[in-house]
Amino acid sequence: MDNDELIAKLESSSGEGEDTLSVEEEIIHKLLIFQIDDRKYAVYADLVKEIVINHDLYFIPFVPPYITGLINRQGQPYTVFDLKMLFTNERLQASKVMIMKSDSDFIAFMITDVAEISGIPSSGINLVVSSETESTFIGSCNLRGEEIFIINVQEIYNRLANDLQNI
Amino acid sequence: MNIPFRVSIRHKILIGSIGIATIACLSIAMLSYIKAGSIIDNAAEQGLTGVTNHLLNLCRTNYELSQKTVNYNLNVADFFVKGKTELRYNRPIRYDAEDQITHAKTPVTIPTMAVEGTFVSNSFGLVDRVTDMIGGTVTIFQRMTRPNGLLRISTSVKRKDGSRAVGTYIPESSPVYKTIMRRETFRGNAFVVNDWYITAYKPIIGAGNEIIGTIYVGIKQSEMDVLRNKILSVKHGASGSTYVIDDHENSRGTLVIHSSMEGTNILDRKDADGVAYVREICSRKNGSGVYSIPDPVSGDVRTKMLQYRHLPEMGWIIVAEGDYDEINSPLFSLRNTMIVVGILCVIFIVVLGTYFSNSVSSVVRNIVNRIKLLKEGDFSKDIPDEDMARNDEFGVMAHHFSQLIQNTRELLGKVRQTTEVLTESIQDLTISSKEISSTSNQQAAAVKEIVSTMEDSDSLSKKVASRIDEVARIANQTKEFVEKGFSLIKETLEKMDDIQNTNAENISGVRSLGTQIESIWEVVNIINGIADQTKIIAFNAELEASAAGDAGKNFQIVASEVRRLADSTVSSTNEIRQKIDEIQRSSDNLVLSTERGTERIREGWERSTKLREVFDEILNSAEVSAASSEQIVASVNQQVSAFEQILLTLRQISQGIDDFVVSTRATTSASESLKETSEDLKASLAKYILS
Repeated sequence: MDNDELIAKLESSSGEGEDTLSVEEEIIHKLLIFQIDDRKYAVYADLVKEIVINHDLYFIPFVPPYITGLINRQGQPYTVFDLKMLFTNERLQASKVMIMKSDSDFIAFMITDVAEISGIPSSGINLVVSSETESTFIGSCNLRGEEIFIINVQEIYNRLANDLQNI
Repeated sequence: MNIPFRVSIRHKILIGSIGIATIACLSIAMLSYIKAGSIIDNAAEQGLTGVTNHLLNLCRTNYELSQKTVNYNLNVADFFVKGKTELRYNRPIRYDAEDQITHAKTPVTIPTMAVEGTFVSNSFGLVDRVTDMIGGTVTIFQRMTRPNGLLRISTSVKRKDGSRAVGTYIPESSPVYKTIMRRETFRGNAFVVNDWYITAYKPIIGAGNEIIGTIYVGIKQSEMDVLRNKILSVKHGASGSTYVIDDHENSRGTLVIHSSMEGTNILDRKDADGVAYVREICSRKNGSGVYSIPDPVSGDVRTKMLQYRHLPEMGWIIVAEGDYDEINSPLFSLRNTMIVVGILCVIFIVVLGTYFSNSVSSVVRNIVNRIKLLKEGDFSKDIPDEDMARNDEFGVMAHHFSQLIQNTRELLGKVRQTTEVLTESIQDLTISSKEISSTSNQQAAAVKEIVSTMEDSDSLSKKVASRIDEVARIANQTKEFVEKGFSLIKETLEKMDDIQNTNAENISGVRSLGTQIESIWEVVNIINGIADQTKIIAFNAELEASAAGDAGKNFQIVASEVRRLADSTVSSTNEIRQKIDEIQRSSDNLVLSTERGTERIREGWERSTKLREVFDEILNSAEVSAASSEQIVASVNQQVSAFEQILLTLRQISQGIDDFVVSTRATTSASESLKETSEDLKASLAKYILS
């Protein structure tokens, strides 16, 4: 895409915003689509701080297996989660780390790759209804015909906290 | 040649000697007679020629002198008439003008001519006076116009009857008239009235400068007495004569000067053979001839030798005549002398021949008698002693003949003894010759058998040589093929080396390419890493933008596009990666296949090397084969040549033996013939009486 096209797109985008404001009825959720191996998952984009690559990973002993280790990001120790291990009990081999926003915890997820950031309306998100416990996934959305699960980051935090307390 | 009758040597010698002597004498006499006749004829002809030439010169000299006289006379006569002559037209005069040539008469009337006032027409005082002064004849002519001519009006010329010849005229056809009309003087011979004159005519010019007449002077040719007497005095021999014939057209054949017949025309006179000899002389002008001319008085025919010459100035032919018998009288005398001498010679020869023939024939006769006895085989009698005692060639001949008889007698005795011995030897020779002939026949048959066998062998050798030639040719051809194959293999090996080297370079290149691809791979990984990082950065930016809410909306778009670009880069690098993978696989495959090819090439090179070694051996073998074939060809050709030489020699031997057989047969035949001959000789010798 050249600059002219980009400018045109920006202009159209700003115009649409005005229109949207005028007829706003539905909330658009920004979801970050990422891959663990070949499987795509989504998180709310506003929960993600940044994505780093090839960061030095420090192994931590005596932790649950889904905790891969720690990374030092600008002086802050982030705990790196292996979601594959969490979901399928298999270790993920990846170089990218998705650092999450949190005021209290420094959490990061090991991912294979980042796919895209997509705006999904509320109607496009199918929330998971569960009576027993909070699910690992909040719900799912259909993106271009593909069903993508939206990870419940808070639940993962809770589980971590729970598991760490049990140690 | 068969002689119908027998003539003895004595008579032959006699007849021969008389015949030869007679023929010799007659030949000498004939030759002398003919030669003498020729000499006399030449002498007579030369004499007559000398006479005629002499007279011709004399007449020519006389003519020239006469012409000078006439010129002088003309000057004198002209003195009397020049400037003094006039015509008196008031006194015309009439003439019956007569053409002096045709004698035709024409009446004419002309004015009277006067000289110094004196009329000269029909008046002769002036011309007679001038004639008395100069001699000869003088005439005054007056010109007339109808007809044109010069009319003689006063003249001292007289006709035959003695009258003056006035009234006659010179016609315009005459050269005299033509000359006068050109105002010139005419000089030369002219026919005047009735005779020929040495003349001169000069025109008479009148007061008006016109030609009014002519003055004439002349000397009659025939009246030159000195000349006439001189001509008549010249004679050739006692009965010879000299005379002059007129050759002018109107008087041709007239005797101008003659001892007895002057004035007679003899043009048609003929000799005894009917030849008009005078006419012949006049037509030939110069020459000579022999004519049988009858005497005009007695009628006796005499043979005359004539010599004649033409004098054109005077129109004369001078003839010198000689009597042929008189000229040849010495010849007749010589002939008679020769006849007498010839008869005496013949008589002498007859006597001498008789003596000589008798002398010769007695010895010959005795020898002939002895030869007759020898012919009958009687060698016992010898030549008489008196014949051998002669002191000439016949005595020598008789002596030698006697010696011959004695020698022959001794020879026959020896031959008789030798014949006895020879007969026995010939018998032995005949037997030996027959044996040799038989052996030779056997040898000839054996040699022919060998020749036949050798011919078969020679044919076989030639066939073998031909085949060997073919084999040698094929061996050489094979050698050439092998050399070509060897050369091809060498080229193949060189090519294989090149291929091997090229292949090694290819492998090295492919490996280098793999290395380069690996470096590309690293670059791609770097790019991929960068793209990945960019993507992450873009995501982070997008997240930041997203977190910024509406304020980061535009930034989110930019970040999104950057991310997509990074995605696209990653996607491209992935494709590159796939391509590099494919290239690497292909390169690996290429390396593998090239290495396999290298192995095949190496195997091919090894096989080609082995093939070259094999071809090397084949080439050596082919060269050895070709050399051996050539040696075999040379050997076989030598063998064939030797065979041919042997065959040729054997044929020559066979031919020699055949010839020898023939010779032996001939020898046998000859010895048998010799045997018969010796027996015949023996029998023949038995007939001779030797003592």
